[in-house]
Amino acid sequence: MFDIHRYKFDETHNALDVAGEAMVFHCHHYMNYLQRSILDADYIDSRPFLIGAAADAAWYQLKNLCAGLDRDAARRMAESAYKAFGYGLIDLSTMTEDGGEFSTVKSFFSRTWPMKFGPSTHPVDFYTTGYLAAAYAVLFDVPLSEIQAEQTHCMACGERANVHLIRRGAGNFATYPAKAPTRFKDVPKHALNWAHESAVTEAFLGAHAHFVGNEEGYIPAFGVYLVRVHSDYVNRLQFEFMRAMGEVAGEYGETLGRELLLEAGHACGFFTYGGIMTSNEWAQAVKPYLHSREDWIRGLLSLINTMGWGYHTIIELSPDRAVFRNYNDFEDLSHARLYGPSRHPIHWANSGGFTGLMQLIYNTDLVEGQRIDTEEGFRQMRRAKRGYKTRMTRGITCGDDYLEVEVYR
Amino acid sequence: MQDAKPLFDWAQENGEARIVDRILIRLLPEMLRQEQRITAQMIEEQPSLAVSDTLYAQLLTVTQELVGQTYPGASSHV
Repeated sequence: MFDIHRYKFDETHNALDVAGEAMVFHCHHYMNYLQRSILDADYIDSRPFLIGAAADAAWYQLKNLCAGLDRDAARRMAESAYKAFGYGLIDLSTMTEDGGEFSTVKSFFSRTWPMKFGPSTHPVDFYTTGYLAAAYAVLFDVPLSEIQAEQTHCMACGERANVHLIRRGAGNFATYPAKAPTRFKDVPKHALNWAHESAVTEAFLGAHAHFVGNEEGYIPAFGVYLVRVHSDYVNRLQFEFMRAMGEVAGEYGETLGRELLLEAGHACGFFTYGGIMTSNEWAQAVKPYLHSREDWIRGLLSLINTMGWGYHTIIELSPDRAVFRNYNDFEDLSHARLYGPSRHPIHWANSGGFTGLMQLIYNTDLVEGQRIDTEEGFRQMRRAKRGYKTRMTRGITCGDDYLEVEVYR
Repeated sequence: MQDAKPLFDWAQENGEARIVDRILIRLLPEMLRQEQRITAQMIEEQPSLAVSDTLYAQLLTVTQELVGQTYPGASSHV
């Protein structure tokens, strides 16, 4: 069955490929904020790409994971990968050539949406609908374009279980052309230049493999729920959302959309980085090296360089202004695979994450031991002091060698 | 015409981070119809924001829904 240990972390590019798909971690704050931002724009027909993005990425991966397996073994592989990635539990034993009805009471999205926002008025687990469609496509050799998939019941709406329907017929979600292979930018890196970088990085290399779904299929860690997402799934959501906003209102629509995508990354930086920096692992393996607020940022970047998001480094750093880089960041690589070049930087999650980190270090007393891991803490922090602004200055898809972002106040 | 600036300021004080962007996203089609291009930066920088009575009423409804509270200045504005 699926075993994350079979996939070696790429230390040269700070990336992880699982059966042909780049994989990254995100937290429930980010995933739900991103999805809600998309759904807020209810004049956009987002359902087709919310499902289609998941189906496309999962299909590529399941095709490889299940190659050479008989149908029963392939079912178990798809179930176990879904569980290992932290999405919850699914049972494919009743899936037939006609599809089927699939019920579960363990769902990352349906569990964590109410935790963050309260009850939902509509089903929220588009990912699982797409994943089930992909599994059906692989198990029964059906094109994604000939599958109808929908979620009919959702625990986030107060119902007892999630229910998804999969059947053969005219496709009702987006499908996409074949994507390009990953092309890393192999350029000299500006090192972090911190004496303890390698000690911290080596301490956490391989740690990503500990983050696999528990018996419920969840990955609770650092005060958040993590999921190991297909980079091309989550980033396609961003790209398709921005494309749609541009179609509705041109540059104005893109301006509004950009702010919410940055905010999703900001929330991720705040909650997940905050959780990491108040964890026992941090206290034991990183904190002994920290003697200033700037060290906390260097320590955090040294650690997250083992998580598959690229190589994060610092060009300038002060409380009022910082310039960060990420070599081979997961958003730019994803855009290059799916859409090719871009006219403007598209690394909203990375950039929002850097901004969230600056907020945490310089606008809170986290380094003094204060925990601020609640929604109200997040709101108070954002209101209490002058916030940071984010300027995305360079990106691989724009022809640059790396992502660069300026965070200032 | 009404000044929407106090309403946005109240939303920022009582709502979640980037609440203004959520309000603007929700009302994008109506703003386009009225040829308005309000951004968070404009709200931050400009002393007042004149909008039509129709748009103000919609802003008020969506703002109160997203903040989850009644705007105290509502009765004096509509």
